[in-house]
Amino acid sequence: MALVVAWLTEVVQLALLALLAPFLVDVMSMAAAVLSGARMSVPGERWRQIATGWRGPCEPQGAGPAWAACALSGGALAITPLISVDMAGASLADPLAIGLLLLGARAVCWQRAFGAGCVWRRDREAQRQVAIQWRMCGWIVPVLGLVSALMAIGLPGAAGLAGLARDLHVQAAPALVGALVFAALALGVLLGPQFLDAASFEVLLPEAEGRLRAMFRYSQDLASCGWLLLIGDLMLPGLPDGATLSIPGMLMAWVAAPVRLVLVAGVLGVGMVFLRGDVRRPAVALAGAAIILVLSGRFAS
Amino acid sequence: MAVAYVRWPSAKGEIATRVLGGAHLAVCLWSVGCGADIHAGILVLDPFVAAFECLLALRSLNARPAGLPAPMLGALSLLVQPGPLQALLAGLGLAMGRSEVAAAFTGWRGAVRLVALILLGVVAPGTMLAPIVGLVAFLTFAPCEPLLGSAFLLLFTISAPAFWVPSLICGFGVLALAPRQILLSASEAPVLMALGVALAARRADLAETSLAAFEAFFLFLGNHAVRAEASGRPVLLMDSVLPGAAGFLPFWLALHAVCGLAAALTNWIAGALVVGLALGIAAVQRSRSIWLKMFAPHGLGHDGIRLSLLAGIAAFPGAFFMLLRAPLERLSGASPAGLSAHGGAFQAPGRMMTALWMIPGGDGARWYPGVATLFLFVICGLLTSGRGIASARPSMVVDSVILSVGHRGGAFSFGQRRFMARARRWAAHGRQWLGGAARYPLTAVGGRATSSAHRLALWLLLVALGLAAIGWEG
Repeated sequence: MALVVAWLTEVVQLALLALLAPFLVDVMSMAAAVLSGARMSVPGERWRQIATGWRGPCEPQGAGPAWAACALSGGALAITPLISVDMAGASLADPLAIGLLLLGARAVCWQRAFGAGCVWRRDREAQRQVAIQWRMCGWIVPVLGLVSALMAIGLPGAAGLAGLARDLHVQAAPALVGALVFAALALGVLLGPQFLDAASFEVLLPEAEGRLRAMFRYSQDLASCGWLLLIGDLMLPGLPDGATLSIPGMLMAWVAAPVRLVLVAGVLGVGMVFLRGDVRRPAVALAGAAIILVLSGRFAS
Repeated sequence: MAVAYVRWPSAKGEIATRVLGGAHLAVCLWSVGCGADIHAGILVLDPFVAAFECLLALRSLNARPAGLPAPMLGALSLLVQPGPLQALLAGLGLAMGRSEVAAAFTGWRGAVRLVALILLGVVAPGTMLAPIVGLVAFLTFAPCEPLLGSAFLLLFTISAPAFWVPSLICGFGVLALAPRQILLSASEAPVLMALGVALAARRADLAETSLAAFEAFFLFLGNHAVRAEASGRPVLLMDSVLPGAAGFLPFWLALHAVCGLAAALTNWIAGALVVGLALGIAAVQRSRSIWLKMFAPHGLGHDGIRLSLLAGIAAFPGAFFMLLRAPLERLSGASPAGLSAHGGAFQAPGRMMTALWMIPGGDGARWYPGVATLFLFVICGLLTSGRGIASARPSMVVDSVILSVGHRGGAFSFGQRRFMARARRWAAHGRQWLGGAARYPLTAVGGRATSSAHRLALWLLLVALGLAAIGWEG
């Protein structure tokens, strides 16, 4: 029975996220638009954009990398717990693994910037973005390593996101929970416009069009959804244990999961408005706060 | 036998080299697998040395032309008891790595090497000075043959577990990541950090953590032995740090080993934070070097064996660890009975299958490499299907383009660029006048307005969020 519930949760989660991902991108851009006084897009706009592209001209040869990008992001979504910790892929939910999968999905898009037909300024802009994003990777991956170390220090024995949520039911670790909020915010700040914003992603695909572009856009939406899910699991690690839930409780959890994601998307969308430019200093400050909090928690007990 | 196939410049010699190398590998594999000690005069082959012999033989067979003198003389020197003869043989191997023997020992680097070799010959393992000698030997041999350097480092540090040794080794590992390469290159950083963590865990009697860290150490070295300078894209993908590839698991194991150390020992908390960050940086540097190689002009080559070896290590690292069972058990101080309670890797044959497809991380975490590798194979197939990355895309990527941020232009003169900038500003104004920015503009230029004045509000919001989460939980 537990196995059936675990696989059911996995399937429902993947279907839900595949449907929800473009809406989350809408939420992020809407939150940003509200604050900066720009015209707000309506929910569903991103889906419409993707559907329009899908109906456009089709270039079947280049579809392999686009599918690969979708599959890499989908793999990250499949191992990050959304609804409950009792999920088939949850034993693989390691922050480093999830982050590397999502960055791998982005790396597949990077190779589009180095195409055959070089239009000088357009492609140069794309290559510059690739260089900047490589730089940011040098900050993001260490923060992912830091998150693992923080979890080990704050709550010894909690391994991975699922283990963290499971252990928090048994033993409260307020300092770790607070520290993970800061660490997740540091991650969000570092990801910032380069990895989460749908508009800046367009620069990376200088020559893709039609269906191919729609697929790459969708892979980007899945990847941002994966980042949001990772950040959400770190910020609000209160997932229920699926094996012990009653039916109404499970329905409640399924409804609450998208709400949590929308909340995280809103926070990050707002953050992106404020934190343009050099984000490394705020990220270092946030990571430092996380370290101090978790150290205080460890030494206080 | 080790030295017999050093160099033999003919086609027959090449075949003989391969045959002899295969025999060498087989003997060492047998010794490592059975945990047998072989004594023959001054030569001693115990499982620990045999593990390094295997890796060095693999490395030597992997090189083109097969049979590099440096690893082979190094392999011979490892067989000899520590002492002057060992130092002499290792030094000879170091010198043979160069085109001229004399070139290896001139200049201040040569002087340092000579001093290191003399120390290696004089100081015995287990004494007070031994860890320093091991570290100096590593620094000497790492640019030429990292496997040999790691072997000497392990040989000289394992029997003298003073409290400062692991910290020193980890410190050197972190130092290797410095932007200027002072003593070490960045690729040796994770090896050093894994070894430091393993020694610290061994000293604290944390068998499972120590085992995970030593597994990471040997996986780093194993990947190094299989890797080649130039290879096709599938091999590069298999060698990368993507989850499921061969390069991921050692980083994962090292990270979780240091996490386990921090969970158990309070005085390793700061070290765990530093090593966790440094491992992340090392992973990014590793993947960046692979990314640059992906676009380098290359021949596809006959990489079938290499690819299958890497895929085998990636999918079934448990098999690799089963092979190295005897040295790993000896090094980590783990007895099979003590491990079986924690679901460790080495148990009775009945539970071998679990060990093959589940790897414990030393702090309670588990990883399923087979599942991840299967997933990566799907990705690899997708990437190489149709006009994927693997097809001939004439690449225009230059290292300077990737590595220098903010370098742009060069094709247009200043006047042209000034005109273009002005035109772009006019166009932006015009677009604004016509009715706002596009919803999803094609470029990021001219995106949303930012307001630095509201940063204080954002900081307050962040603090409130953190505090709310703490209060809500506690």
